Amino acid sequence: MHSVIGSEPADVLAAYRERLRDIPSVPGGGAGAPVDELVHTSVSTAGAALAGAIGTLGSVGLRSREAVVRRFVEDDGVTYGTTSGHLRGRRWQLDPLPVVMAGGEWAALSAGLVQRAELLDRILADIYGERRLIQDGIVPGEVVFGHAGFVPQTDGTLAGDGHHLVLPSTDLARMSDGSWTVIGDRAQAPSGAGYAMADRRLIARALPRLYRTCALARLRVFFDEVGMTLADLGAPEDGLGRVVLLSPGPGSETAFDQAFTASLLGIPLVQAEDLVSHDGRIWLRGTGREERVDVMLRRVDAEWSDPLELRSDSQLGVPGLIEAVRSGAVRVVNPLGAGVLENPGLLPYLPAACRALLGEELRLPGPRTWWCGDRASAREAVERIGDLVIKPLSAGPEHVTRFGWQLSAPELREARAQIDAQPWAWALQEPVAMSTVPVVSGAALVPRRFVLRTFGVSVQGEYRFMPGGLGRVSDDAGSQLVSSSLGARAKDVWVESSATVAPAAVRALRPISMAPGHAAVGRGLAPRVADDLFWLGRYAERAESLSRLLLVVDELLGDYLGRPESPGSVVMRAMVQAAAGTTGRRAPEDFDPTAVTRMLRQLVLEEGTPGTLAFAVAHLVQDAQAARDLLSVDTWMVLSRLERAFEPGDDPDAPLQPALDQVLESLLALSGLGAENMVHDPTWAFLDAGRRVERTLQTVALLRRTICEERSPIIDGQVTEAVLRVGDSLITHHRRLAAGQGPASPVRSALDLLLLDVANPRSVAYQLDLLSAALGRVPGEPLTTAVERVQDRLLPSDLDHLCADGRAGLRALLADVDEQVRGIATLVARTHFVRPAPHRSMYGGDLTVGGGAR
Amino acid sequence: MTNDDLHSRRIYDVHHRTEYSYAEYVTASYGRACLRPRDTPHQQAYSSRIEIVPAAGTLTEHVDLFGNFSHYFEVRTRHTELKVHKSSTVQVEWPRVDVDGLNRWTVGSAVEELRRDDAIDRVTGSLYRLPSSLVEIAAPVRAYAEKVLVPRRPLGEALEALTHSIHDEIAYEQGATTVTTTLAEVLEARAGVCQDFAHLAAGCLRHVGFPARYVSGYLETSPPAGQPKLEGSDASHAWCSVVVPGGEWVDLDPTNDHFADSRYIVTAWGRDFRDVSPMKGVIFTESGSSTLHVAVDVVRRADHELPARAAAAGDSADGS
Repeated sequence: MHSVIGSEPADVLAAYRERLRDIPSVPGGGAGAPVDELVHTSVSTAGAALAGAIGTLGSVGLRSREAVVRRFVEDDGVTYGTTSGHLRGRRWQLDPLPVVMAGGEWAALSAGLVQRAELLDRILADIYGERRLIQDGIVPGEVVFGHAGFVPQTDGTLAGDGHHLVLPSTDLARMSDGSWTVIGDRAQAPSGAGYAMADRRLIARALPRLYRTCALARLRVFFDEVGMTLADLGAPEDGLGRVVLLSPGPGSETAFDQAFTASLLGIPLVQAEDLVSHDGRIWLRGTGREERVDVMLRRVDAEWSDPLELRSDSQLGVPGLIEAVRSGAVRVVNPLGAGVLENPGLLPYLPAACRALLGEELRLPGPRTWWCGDRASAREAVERIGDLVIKPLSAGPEHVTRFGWQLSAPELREARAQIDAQPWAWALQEPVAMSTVPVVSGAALVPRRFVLRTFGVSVQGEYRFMPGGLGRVSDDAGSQLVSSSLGARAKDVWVESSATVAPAAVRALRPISMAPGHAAVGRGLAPRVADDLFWLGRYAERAESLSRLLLVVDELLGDYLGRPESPGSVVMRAMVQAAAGTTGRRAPEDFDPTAVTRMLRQLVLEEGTPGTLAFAVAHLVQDAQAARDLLSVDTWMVLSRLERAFEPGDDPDAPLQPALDQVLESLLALSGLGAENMVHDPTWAFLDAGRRVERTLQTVALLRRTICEERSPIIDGQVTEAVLRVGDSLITHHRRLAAGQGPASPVRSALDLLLLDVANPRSVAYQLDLLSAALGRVPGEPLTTAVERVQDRLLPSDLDHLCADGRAGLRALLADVDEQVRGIATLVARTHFVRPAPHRSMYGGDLTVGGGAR
Repeated sequence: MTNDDLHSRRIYDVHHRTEYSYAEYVTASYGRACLRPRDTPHQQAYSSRIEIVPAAGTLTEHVDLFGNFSHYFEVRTRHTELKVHKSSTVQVEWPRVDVDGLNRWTVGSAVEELRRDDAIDRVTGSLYRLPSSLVEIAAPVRAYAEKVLVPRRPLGEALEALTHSIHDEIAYEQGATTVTTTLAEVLEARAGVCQDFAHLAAGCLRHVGFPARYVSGYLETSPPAGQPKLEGSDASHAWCSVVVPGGEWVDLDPTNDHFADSRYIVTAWGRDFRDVSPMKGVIFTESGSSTLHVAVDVVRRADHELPARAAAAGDSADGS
């Protein structure tokens, strides 16, 4: 299907040039043929270097770079959206080839963006303030009041000097004459800056040589500026107030963008339940204390942000937030109500508003737009609706943007009728011949339409824009639609740094901790986060213990299944039962080989069943995603490898051992990261406490299902060996027996190693030591006395006594330890993970009664 | 009682008690309420007191977009009962609507006049002309409006007809609707309460081009002849207000089939019920159930003596 053969430079690009000729013509006439970002506009040095690099790579090279990028995306855990039934996100789609822009061109474009941001900021202040634009007839009131983003409750809350629209964002496309045009504004809670930064990191690694040879404007500065601005918005008097990023939660489509942004800014990623409002202020609930929140970077839409004043069914907001904003106790960025600017109905009135508010002509043009509420001026546009883009004033699930030329005659009639019934709710717009960019598809380059999302920030009264931004492309060359969500394939955008553009980083910046994974160091942890970390530790350890057990079982099955006469078969049965017990089931009575093999596969792979390995891993990944801003980037590389072990292969009967080995290896890497790469602060303490609790419970459970039952000495010896292998203590056991150290009986030696030996990192006694240490690092009420009680029960144990009476003493001890350690887990949860009671709305005024007045 | 009495100056004491009881402890309660009556061309509020038990940690007041007094409170003392008592004293003197004067306009000419650039301030005009969440102007509402508010019909007569036809054609039936019932559903069921009547009137008026608002307040009621008035027997009430050429607002009450008079006490107004909810809140509790008790007394003072005027009555923000 691809005409490109070989990897001669000319071939790939020449074939791409051919394809550009086949692009469907743009509807509506007039708009002209699209330009291509690589072929037509690459006058820059970097553009030439890119073209050269494409030539050098050839079709084979391009295909492999695409695979490399995909692999890096997985390793960094860059996700967008959610997959059905999971919190796990879909893999972010990123093309390996950057889009290049000359520095001079960006400088001109960015001046237009700055002016637009100033204008939108002034409009916003006017809408929630004096409303002069409406009173003076410059903007029709219906355009503002009829927009779903207008929030009357926030009227009068945009107090103070300085910009209110702190983070402006505008989507741009290039027209056929080469100039840029605005196709939309984002003001509610612009997303994507984190993705742009992630894209840059990925592409820099995927195309290292090209990246090094090009002098590019850096993206990092933008985040430094955002961090500084947010810090400045807080109350200056005591510097105690915090800046937080309010997220809808890990199930949000742009969860990665939110967590990565929080990491880059060094601020905590919080959810509504982490916050509480009282005394007219917003507070962050920490372990042991509350901290005042002065500034909230929000990724929750206004509508959902305060269940008292807005959507009463929202669990994503904080009741009292708007009141706290009104009193000036908290600054929300962007302000609640800013969504009204995402409004195609405003576009026809921007030039006049720009003259009125700024005394300037609007620099960045947009496609010609009509607001249908102005019937006289829109009449002609409604006539030719079939050539135009039909935009609802407020886009939403019920009303989406449609392209007139894609609609059938009845659909167009219906659209006209809708406009006729509620003209104020609609806008019509000329289509734009968006530029194209080459995208790697298989071994070839294909053209796709290109949209650039730009990101600005108000720094000390002045807007600055991230050089470039987030590039996105359409699904096919003919489509004008680049999903308004961020699901479309992304492009890294390279802006050349030239002498004409002063480096943006010349000013001294307030130092901000930039390493991901250090956002909450030294501060209290929200109960939800502590909970997620504790369970992250527990599931990681549960998965590790299970994979060790399942590896031993798999091997025993290989040796003894179908050989019921051998003594080893008894051991096999005992261990299979121990494994089956993790899911609360029993192995098949007859140990039918097919049934047993099937059960083992289920224990590994059945994600929906509690107790299986896949279940533990899925929950481990979920908890990691919920605490994403606290974990290092390396974590995602490990988790990505871990998840790959569960990808279904071609062979349904493939041996389990390689997959189990890969799981175990990844889990060991994960625990290595925890031990070696994390500061031992409260974040780590909850994670480690979870691990220690779980390893204790797993070891105790294993012993209860195996050694607790006394068997003939030979079988006992073999069961003990199997248990020690699961407990990773067999070598020490053999060494000690050979050297005559420790108890002479294998069972006693095993119990000594797995229960009492404080020097063995696999023993219960060792777990209790570390659990005590971890809980000692958690602020607030010390819970270490509960651990001491378990230690008092365990450590004085006498091995002979434990093994007497058919091991009755052992059974009693294990039952006690199990109960007490579960009690500690409950205590930790009760002390540190306490969530607010659920909230609901009440009404007290709708019982209105009339009548009786005559 | 003669008609003249209905337009005389009156002074009322209004008591509005809202009490919630919960099956389990509530750990925190946040409330938003429009309680303090606003001043209008026909009404002056003299005093207003709000008492919350348990005591509110925070209680604030501001003037909202619509010019109403809006209160916010937080109760963070653990409780199983929450009481919000409001007492206000207002003087009302509501003139008779000049129907003949209105009849000099037709519906059509009045709408035309109101669309003129300087006829009415643009914020008020656009704010109250648009549909709103509880005043959705679907096809049945449009049809109903077009039947009654015919363009060539004299304006005064048309407003009386709208008031009358809603009163006659929609049964007053408590419990027939909820806060989520749409106007189309009200028209389908032909039943509703005063909120629905007011929303329907506003929807019809907005559809043909009049800015119209939803008014929330009280109505003095009289006991059946020969019986004493019972405490707590009054209720909050809602009606509709429409702007006419010249910029005056005319208040019509389709629930009772007449224009507003001196028995009507205004608390607040907005686009619909949601903007002026007398009380709403969010509570943090494990409790699944609660009971609500509302008691309203509208007591007319026998004398005409004015109490001392309280300071800071506030200005309206929407230009009316």
